Amino acid sequence: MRSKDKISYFYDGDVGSVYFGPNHPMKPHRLCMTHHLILAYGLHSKMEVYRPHKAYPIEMAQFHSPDYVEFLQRINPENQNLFPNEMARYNLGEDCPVFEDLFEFCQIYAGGTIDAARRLNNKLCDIAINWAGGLHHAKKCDASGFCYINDLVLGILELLKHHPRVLYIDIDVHHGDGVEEAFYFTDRVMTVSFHKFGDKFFPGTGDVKEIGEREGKFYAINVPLKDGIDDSSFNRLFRTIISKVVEIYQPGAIVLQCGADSLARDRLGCFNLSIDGHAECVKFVKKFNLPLLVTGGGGYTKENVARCWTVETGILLDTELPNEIPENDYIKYFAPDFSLKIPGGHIENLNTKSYISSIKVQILENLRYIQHAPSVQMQEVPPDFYIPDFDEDEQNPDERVDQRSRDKQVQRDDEYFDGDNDNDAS
Amino acid sequence: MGLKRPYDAEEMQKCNAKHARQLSYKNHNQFDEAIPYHHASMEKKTNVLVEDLIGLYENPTWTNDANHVDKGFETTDLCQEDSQSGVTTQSDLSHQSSGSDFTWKPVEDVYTCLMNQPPRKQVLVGSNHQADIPEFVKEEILDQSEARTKEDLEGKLMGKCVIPMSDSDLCGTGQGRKECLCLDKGSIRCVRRHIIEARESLVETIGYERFMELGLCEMGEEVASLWTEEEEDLFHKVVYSNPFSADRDFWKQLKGTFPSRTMKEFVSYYFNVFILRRRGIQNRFKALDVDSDDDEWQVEYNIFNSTKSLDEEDNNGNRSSYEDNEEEEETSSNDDDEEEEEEDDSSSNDAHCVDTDKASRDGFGEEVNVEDDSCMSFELQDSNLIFSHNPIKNRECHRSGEDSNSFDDQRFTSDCWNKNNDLLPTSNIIEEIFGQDDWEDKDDNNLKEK
Repeated sequence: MRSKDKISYFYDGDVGSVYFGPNHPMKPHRLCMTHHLILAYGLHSKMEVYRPHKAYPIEMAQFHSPDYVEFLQRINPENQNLFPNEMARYNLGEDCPVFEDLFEFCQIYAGGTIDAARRLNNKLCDIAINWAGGLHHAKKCDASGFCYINDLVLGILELLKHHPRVLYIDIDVHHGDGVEEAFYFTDRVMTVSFHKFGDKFFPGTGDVKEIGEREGKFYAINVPLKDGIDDSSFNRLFRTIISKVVEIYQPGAIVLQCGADSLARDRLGCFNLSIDGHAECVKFVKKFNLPLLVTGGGGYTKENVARCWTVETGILLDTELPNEIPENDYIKYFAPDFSLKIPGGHIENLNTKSYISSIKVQILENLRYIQHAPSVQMQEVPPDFYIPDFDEDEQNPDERVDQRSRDKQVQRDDEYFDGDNDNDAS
Repeated sequence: MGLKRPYDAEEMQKCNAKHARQLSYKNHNQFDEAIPYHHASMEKKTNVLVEDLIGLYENPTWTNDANHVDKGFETTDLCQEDSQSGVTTQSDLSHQSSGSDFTWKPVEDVYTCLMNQPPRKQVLVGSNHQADIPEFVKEEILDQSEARTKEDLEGKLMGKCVIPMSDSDLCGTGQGRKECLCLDKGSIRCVRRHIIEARESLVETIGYERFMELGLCEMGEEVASLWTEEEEDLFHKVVYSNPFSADRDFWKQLKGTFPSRTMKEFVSYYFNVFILRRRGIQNRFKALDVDSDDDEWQVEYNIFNSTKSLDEEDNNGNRSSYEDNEEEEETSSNDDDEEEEEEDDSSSNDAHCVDTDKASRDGFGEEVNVEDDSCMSFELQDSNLIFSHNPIKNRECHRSGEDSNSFDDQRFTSDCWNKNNDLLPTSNIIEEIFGQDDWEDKDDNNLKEK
């Protein structure tokens, strides 16, 4: 292992003083609690603490549609009634309410992830942490699942300026649909999501058969799980898949979304993971010694969120933390035991061995397709001896039809030509 | 579109189950009905079709995939491209496994169909969905000057350093909580004092400027110093007189009451002072499954007054906290639980704990809540502790039903979660709170680390 990882940690106090609304499960105050607990354990002395810049609308528009960003900037609780159409179009108002200082909230958490990516790009740190980020459901043109701006996509886009390939890992209990969708067509980002799937669980995507499309085919991995998965099953699966992915894909950087709703006893989640089990994933990813961007995500039992991300900060800093929570402003929240770790849950584990095995087999099978393709080269050097996947430079976006038909024709090397005159579609 | 939680206002009031772990499927179904049937089935067909195209380009094997189709939304297959359009025979497909009348249509129709299709639980494609991938430029290619400029620009947008890396490992890193030697260990006063000590120690370590930059001046009960006592009283009054259960929104009222204050200040006060103090009280009701996220859990105003007044006390003598009262009652050989009245401090006499939305929240111990609350409301009535609640809906109502029973049972019998705070039968709970001799010991156990 490297001698000492340099960690950059991003936090802005304003991020915790917004309020989604009465009885909304997302409580940004959990970020204050996390931050405070991290400070209480003295971890700030082992890393560099930054206040992120507030992301500019133009930065958000690197991914999101400018109309959507502009609307987010404009809308507030007082005037939202005047824009029912736009509210519906952008999916605002229910899961994603319009609350006071909404846009500033987005600016802070998105700015954190962007800054984190930039510091990594410039090799100013080895690991960058933004617990406020990780809002993985937001889409290009609409909000979703309590997420408005997809900071992960923005961060990954930033990393892609310096790295040919970026690996995205998501251990939130919900499918990382926003990130997957954004990069569904590209092989420059491999998205891997472990999540609950089925029983009409949000968001509904994330089946194992979702593997990407076009040149992004096989570059989306989904690990759909059932209720109650425990530490050992989860970690075994995680290690197997991630080690294979890293070996084959050879990413230049990794983005890890650590949604804490996959912990046991989460208000919205349904897994049995203990904090140790959850943190084991962080530990494992850190071992690859690749530039690593770590974000938060879901997590709706705020004491456990704070505990989890504090433990994981400790892990990233190679610091084992004692279980007794030190005195801090929010210590009351950690009653009655005031301990840092939480045990696993005991709901029935519906993930049978055979089910897990079948998922694993399918995934490893799909990974073999990448294995067969020449490694490393991406769009810069498209080889011409395998099944013609189109070269991005030659793509004519208006001629998707050609692409589709080209795919249907196996190994027609003589068809691999510039331009748009493929009329062989049958 | 699916929701992360159902936002049916009616349902909200009925069962307070706002945090479903499933889609609001009724929304989806309504949407379905609006779509011409052939579109719906075509879409399912698409899923199957594309899946078959992976790697093979042969005739699709329908039998295998029929299951997926039948499951409908459960398994979401790829839906990027569809070579079908307007093939009416497909209306059968969603319910049958036979695919013999499948026909292959020209791909020109693919994207037209796709754009016309409503969003579903598939990965959506199109210019409105995928990101534009930036170019990757190898570092060597970058012009030297260009690189420098680039870095300068980026340097401005990489965050402002609050605490730079220090060479020495400052003492106190990674240390846990130490035992204190207070006589009233575990009391609200004791906890408060140690918190203040910890804050002061942090200021000494990192300097006041950094302390401020980190936002620590806006954390914890320190925030109360930004409000006058009258303002605090008014805040509490507004919150209590506008409970959510009565369909009122105290946030709006707060804005009207304090026109000069911002929402941020309200939120900050609410979480750093109001909820925290409430949590302090909740913690001392061991029997309750404490849930500080429960916006509806209300403690009578007078209780707050009493905990607030702890700010003024300097010594152990003036024990005006509710919890302290209990201890005193405890030690004064009180053997009549039912008639207990806290006499020492009038402010804690009327402890009304209105629990209006418990069970829909924290799943753990939910089963216990149901039992406890129902018993408590009976047994504690005489002690002026009234627990009332809306009909409790456990997670069953917004989870898949299949595992709800085992789920609840499992949680209730979990014992590794409660190391020191075993879930007692409700008859013991009264003794716990009011009459047991070893109340103090147990209380300490709860607050100590294991």
